[in-house]
Amino acid sequence: MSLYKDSQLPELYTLKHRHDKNENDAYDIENNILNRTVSSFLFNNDTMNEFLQKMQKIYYLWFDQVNILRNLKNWSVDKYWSNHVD
Amino acid sequence: MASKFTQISFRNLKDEINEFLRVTYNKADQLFSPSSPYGHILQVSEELFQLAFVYLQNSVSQFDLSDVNSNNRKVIRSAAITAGHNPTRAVSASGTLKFRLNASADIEKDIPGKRITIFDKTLLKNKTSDLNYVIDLGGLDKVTYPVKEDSQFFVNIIQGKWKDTRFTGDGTVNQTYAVEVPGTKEVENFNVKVEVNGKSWEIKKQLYDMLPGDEAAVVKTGFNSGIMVIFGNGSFGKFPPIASEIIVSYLETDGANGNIFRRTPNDWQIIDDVIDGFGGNVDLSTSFDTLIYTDINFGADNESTAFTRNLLPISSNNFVLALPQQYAFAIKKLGVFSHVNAYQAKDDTVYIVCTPNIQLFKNRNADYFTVDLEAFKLDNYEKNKIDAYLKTGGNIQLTKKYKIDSPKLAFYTMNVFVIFFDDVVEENVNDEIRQKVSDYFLDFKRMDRVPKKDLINAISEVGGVDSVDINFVSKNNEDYHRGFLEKDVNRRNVNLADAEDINIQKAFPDYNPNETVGLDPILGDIVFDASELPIIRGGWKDRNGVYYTANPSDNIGFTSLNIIKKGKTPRKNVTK
Repeated sequence: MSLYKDSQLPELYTLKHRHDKNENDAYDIENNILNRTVSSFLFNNDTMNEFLQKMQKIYYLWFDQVNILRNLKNWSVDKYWSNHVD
Repeated sequence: MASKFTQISFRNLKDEINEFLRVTYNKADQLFSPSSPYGHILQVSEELFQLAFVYLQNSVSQFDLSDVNSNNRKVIRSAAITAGHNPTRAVSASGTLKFRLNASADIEKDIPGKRITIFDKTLLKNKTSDLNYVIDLGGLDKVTYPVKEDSQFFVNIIQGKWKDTRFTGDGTVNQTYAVEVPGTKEVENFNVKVEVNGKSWEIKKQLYDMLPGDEAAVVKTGFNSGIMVIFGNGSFGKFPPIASEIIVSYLETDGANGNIFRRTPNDWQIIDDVIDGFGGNVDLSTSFDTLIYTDINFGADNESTAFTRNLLPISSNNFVLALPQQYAFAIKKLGVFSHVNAYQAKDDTVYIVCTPNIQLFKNRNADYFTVDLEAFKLDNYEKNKIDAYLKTGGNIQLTKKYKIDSPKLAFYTMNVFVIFFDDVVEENVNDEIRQKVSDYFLDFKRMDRVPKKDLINAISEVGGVDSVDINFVSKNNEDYHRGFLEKDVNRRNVNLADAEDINIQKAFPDYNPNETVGLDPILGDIVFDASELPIIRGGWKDRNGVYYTANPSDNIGFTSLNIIKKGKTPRKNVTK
């Protein structure tokens, strides 16, 4: 769902990132934004869990869209790059 | 305003959803409440939406250059980079360690094979500061030393820890990669290596330095933090093919914190392996004494925000070092010198005068008046370091010569005349005044004069001071006058034919009784040449033979800093 990832063909994305390894990678908010903010008790219910995992992608999009603006002058990264460490 | 409106709308929307759920299920505040699952999710949605707006506002504000007094580091740094300036990152402290076989070592037992092999980038830890240092073998992978009685060897170390980040080449021209590091850490200014498919690529200063097909990359300070690595376009440097492995290794540094002021023996722990003659690990600390051979210094923090702002107008975007101010700029960027002046002499040589930033090298308990005088001077080791930096940091114009020198110290003492308030403890106020003067001179950046106004302003900030004035006594001025006065006394003792001879100026036409060497004749400010550095320090006599001691804490006679009480003002007389 990440804009950066979705803007490329999946096969090409994998090819272009096969060696990537960065110990200072940004926190994976895409897959954790709701896991860390709502009660973990809610995830015990399968239906609710499925619903929240889908919602999580939408919530992440709110933040991911702002990255386009953040990267506006930064010519060293892709327009959709989201790996900011702070 | 727009964002505020949206937030209000969202809150209204949330309230409407709440209301809808209440009405529909008709179990208001029982099945549906902020603590029920969907109530909870709705609450979290609202908070996240607001957070997204804060992120948006922060992202927009990075482009806001309307505030000329802005100290927002990210704003200034990204604007500076966009303008072509490359802000200096932190510089690691470096020096040399000496390993000496200790007397109690049993070579046969402790060092099998009687030799040890040390590898490049071997990690050490300083026990006192708990900071990491690495061994720098200057390009060699490893060095083997034979060990016998009285063996000793020297290794260069540099503060920090080598880290690497891996990327994958995408086969495009001018592909660029950002290596970001978290806030408190910094990528060292000089120690970055780039490998593509296991082959080391050279680091160049700018794209046009790269030749067609050159295996090279340009490393610049990153927009947000860290660095960016820029590859060529084929005509200017090669670019990595698609799916190639790019390894960017960098030294993660702690900047000025890495300087070591004391030479404590055996203050080091070697973390990585050192190999004996048979390939086993050897613990150097049991058989060798570890001593600091040359000072571990020159560590500096990254360019401050204020510094970036001030230097931008004189930045040399083409990296050419031609004008004296460009030399001064290149050295100032290092951040380890408090006072840098460069001037061109008649022989076309650029003379560079630098004073180490005493703040970085002084003992924590020392102040300006107790710092050793040697700290204001550059030794040969430091001069060589600057020389090496200039040769790597910029393109020195052909035929241009430069000379790096310590400033000539011009000695002064300072008298402070104070009227205190009656409700203060004078010793405390004296200490505060001394601190203010110390801080001023430790951060001294003027190139031409020390205005009395600056110091009077600083001392006026001390709470117990009602009124203050200062004056300086210049050693050069006193030496000038004393020289002629002594000659005059000798002359009179030998021959004084008539009353006219009593006139000193008649005997010495060169002598000017009104001369004020090193002082402004009207204002009394300290004035100095480009090659000089004024220093408030006693240890000399004035023209009348009055001796000024060096340390203001000495309670005998006059010192470097004399605080003279001229009276007391009752606090109640001062109306605010």
